[in-house]
Amino acid sequence: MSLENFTDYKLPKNAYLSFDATSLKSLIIDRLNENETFTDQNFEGSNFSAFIDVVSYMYHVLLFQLNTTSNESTFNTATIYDNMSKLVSNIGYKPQGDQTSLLNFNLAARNLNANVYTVPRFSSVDVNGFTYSTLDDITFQKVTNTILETVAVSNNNLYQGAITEATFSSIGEPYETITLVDTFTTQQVVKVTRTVNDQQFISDNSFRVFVQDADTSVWTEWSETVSLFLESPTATSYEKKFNEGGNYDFRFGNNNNGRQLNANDTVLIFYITSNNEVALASPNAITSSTFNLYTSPAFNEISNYIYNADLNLINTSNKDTVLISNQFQSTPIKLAETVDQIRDNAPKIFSTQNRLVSKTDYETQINRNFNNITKDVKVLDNNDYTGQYLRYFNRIGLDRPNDDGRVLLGQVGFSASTNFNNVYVYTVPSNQPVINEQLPNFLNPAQKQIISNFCIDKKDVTHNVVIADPIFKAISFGVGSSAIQTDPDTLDDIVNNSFIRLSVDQNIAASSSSIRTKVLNIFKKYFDLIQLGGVVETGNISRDILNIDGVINIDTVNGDNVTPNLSFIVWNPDYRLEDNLIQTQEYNLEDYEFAYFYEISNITSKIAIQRL
Amino acid sequence: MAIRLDNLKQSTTEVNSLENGYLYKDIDLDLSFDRYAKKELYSKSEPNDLSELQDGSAILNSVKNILTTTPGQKLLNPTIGLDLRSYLFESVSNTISYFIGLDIYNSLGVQEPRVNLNEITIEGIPDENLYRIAIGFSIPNLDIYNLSLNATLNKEGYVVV
Repeated sequence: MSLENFTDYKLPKNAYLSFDATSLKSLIIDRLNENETFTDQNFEGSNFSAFIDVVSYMYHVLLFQLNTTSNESTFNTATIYDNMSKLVSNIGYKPQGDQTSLLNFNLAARNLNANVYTVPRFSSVDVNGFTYSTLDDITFQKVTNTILETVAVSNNNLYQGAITEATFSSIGEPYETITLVDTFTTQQVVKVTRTVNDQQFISDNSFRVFVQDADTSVWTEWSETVSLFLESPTATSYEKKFNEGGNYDFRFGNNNNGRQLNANDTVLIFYITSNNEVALASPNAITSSTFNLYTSPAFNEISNYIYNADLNLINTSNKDTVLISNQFQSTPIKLAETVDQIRDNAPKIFSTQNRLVSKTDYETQINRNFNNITKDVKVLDNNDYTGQYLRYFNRIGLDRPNDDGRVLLGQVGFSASTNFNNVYVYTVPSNQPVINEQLPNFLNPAQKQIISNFCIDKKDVTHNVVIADPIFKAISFGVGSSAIQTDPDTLDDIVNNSFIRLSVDQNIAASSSSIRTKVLNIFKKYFDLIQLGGVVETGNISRDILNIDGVINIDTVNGDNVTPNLSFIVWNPDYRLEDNLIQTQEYNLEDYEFAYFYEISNITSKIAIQRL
Repeated sequence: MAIRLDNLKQSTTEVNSLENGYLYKDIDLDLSFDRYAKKELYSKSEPNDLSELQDGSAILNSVKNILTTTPGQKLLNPTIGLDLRSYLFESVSNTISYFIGLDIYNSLGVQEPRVNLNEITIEGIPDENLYRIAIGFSIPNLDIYNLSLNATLNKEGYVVV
């Protein structure tokens, strides 16, 4: 660093930023030489030189701290979770904590008369020694007397973990904040992977808050709000925040913005304590199990206020009449947002202003709040829906789009009046989007209902939000003629008999099995990342395969038909004859389309290797 | 035409220092006040400036610092110092004595350019697990010759006698 301009104390204002330890040492020595009182600053063995080293190094460290502090005070450069959490609190963004696994269940009932029944909230079921609990009441209708029948339920989400209670006594001050300390988790927010200590954690989005008025002793359920400043003076609402210490803050109102707690009110928080990944459930982990009903002195008392006397509650005497089973595996654990995720999400969420107006608003809010159940979200407006989605069914030969079962299901379930002029949300489940690598999977009705309920108070009042199912496109290696539309066996022949032939340099020592595994990994990695409206980039996949050491050429083969490079057959598994094509170029998916590779694990058996 | 012999010219610092009565001046750690900065009429007669080391004592102190410093200890110059402690893990012998002497001879003059080394005597005493080290050196700029620094090297480190 040049010191020419740094005479006396006439340093530029930002000169202090230019110094590091060695340049400051040089400056001190230069100034001492000018002063001429001491001489030994020039000799490294001297006391003075050691003293200057210490001063310079201290300055260097302090300047580093200053720079770090400066960086941590701005949104774009903050790297420490505590600081980022505080920064985004300025725009009302609330980072998400860890979320437990969800499990969908089917319900059957027997030995009950035809009637409507309710399984009380917080009931649980044992799955391989771990508890799965429901946070909401489950209402179902038994249609026939006595005999065993599968029943449709209002809610079929189980949360992994046991219900836990935390009781607090309020002080009665405005904007009172209660902190629920997560004693299970050690600084969960600052690390990437869990430690052994974090076997359990408090699951975010699993809170149910009840308040008992100190004067009347009446229990009421309070609901979570995005911001107390949006609430009326009498609203029984609270704000929840995952704070910088990894604990949960519950903030109540001040009688202007949300109702204020009275002194000595009892606040009771129910929440899920998750057992973490060890408790994930596989398909059919529970078959004909029964609920364990939740009881505690506090909940028994609360039950008197939240349940009407004429409700047919399932109780200990008839709980064995309700049988639970699960068809699919549970969803994975969702870790708390990292600093980079917050940096990515906070501006998007802020731009929506807690309103669902544009496509981006919908996609941002749903992706962020339901990423534990959705892999991807795309939204279609009326123009796209009628011009693309409905037209698709027309093009493949349906008289009416409603002839498709899933279109009809979406309309009946979520569209109050028409089958158009709504907002159409297309989602793919995060958990097993493809069943057995063959058949499409969709969000179940309860999961869709959660998303729909979330949208209700944020959307425009003039339209409905339809949580719709995307069209899945299966992809496999394929070479053949275009006469598939008339012969149902042709598609099977192409799928079953087509394979890729890799020409491999004979001087390369890589084994055939290792090359096949590498190709499989390329496809798995590629299709893991593909999203709604994405592009199947045939060229990029070919390039990745050709980058495998020794691979010099790719052909796709079906009998005598040979196509250079990759050739795929793409089809809709629900309309195999009506919608299929051979594709050798990039394949663009519409926003309502999702692609998967058919029987992807079987790819290795569809790779022939010839050594040249 | 006159010939200018710049290599014999004293630096400004040296000239000014000599005018003040010293050639080399270093601070004396522990940074105590024991010096009268400028004696003025009616000034308080109590020390008000840092104690200092001048000329020979400053250079001798510098030599001691180098001998007792291990490379890496000095924050901004990790090459300064002699790693004499490393010899303590070897058995006391003439061979090791030779290498200690060679180490001092090669490094001390480079790290403290104001001294000229005259003689280095290393005496190993196996029974006491120590070396007696005598370094003879001169300071030509101060016209000081035949100085000797005697020390021992044992488990306590390099200790000036």
